[in-house]
Amino acid sequence: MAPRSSTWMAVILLSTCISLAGCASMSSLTGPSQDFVTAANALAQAESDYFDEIQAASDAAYRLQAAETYVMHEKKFVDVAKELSKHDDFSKAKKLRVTAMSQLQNYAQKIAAITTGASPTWIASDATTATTNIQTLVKDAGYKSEATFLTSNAGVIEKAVTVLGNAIIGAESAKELRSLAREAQGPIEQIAVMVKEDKDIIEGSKYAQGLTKDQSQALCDILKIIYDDPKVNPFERFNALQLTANWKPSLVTKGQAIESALKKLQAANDAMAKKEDTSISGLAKQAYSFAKQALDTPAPKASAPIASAPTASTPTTSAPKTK
Amino acid sequence: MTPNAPTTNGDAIAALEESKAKLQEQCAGADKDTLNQLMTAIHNISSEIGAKVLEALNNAPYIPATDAFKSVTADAQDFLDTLNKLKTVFGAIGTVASAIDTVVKLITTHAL
Repeated sequence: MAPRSSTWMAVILLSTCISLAGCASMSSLTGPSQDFVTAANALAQAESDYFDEIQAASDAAYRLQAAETYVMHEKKFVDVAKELSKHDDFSKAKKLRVTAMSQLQNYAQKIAAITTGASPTWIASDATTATTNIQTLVKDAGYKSEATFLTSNAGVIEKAVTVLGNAIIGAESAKELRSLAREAQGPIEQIAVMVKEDKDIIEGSKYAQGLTKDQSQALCDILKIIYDDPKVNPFERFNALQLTANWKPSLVTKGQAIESALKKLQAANDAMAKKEDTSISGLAKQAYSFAKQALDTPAPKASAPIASAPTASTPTTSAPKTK
Repeated sequence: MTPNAPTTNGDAIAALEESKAKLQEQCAGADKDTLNQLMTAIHNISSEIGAKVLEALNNAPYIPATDAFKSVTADAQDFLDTLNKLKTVFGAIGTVASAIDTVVKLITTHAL
């Protein structure tokens, strides 16, 4: 009776694994998890760039204001020198944000590792090397109809192991990613608060805009001083104008990139957190039901047509209803 | 507190920026002495703003003092460890499956 049981089990396994093969538990989360990692890296880069821009704009504003005083020539040089050495150091502020970003990136790397680790490629798929074993066994035992069925579905044992293994790992990974995404919502909200508060200070107060205005105003004042100075001749005035013709202020523009990356980060995390994996859950229960049925149900008679067994196209017809 | 008093760092900076902008508007039509006075005032306000911005950004209480992602990162690492164990288990199962196939082949070949 062993060959018949083996055949029946093989058919059940095949039906199950084909059903599970159609399940895309991880594939539905792969996109959002990759989006999350991309957004985390973009956000970190934009934050770093943002503070570099602020530093550059601040330095440029002070430098041009000092130049303004220098050109005006109404103060002692020691005062001019003080203005020339003015500098607001944003390195600490930048470091605090970059540190927060690196913590986010560290987490994102784990998400990337889980997504990659859940890839189905790791299980050996050399099922074809043993494709004829069951078929031969069944045929020798006289169950030709079952053997015919298995001919087109060779390598069933290893296929079942591979597909079930992938399904289990995929399901576990998907479940964990959802759980992590929900857990990460709090820390991500802290990042969002940080971005909002920074924006209020830097842009809401018009500080960033003011840095640009300081530069433009200082340059305009320098040109005015030169223009109003009776000792400057037309050629020198023309030279001054030419020197400033292609001048552009240092701008602070990365605020939008930060907001955009943050929105993408939150959207990707929400997508991971909200994904309901009912299909894998149902299929896992179905697989369990198939296995239980195989143990409980007597094997079919040798002459029974194969059509009476659950097939790949109708895997649910013989399966008990899952809860 | 007066009704128009700034309530946050951002408000205080905004108020200073507004004052500075008003002074800057007067520069174009000013004579040399007035421009000199305006410039001095503007530069002083710029320094004051810079100091306030730095203070606000360096001492921002809204930045997590410790790693906000520490717990979730640790959980992710734990699952990665589990994932690697699962891989090992299924690798072993795959080996067993191959062994079963070999045994089946032997049984078939020798008609046991």
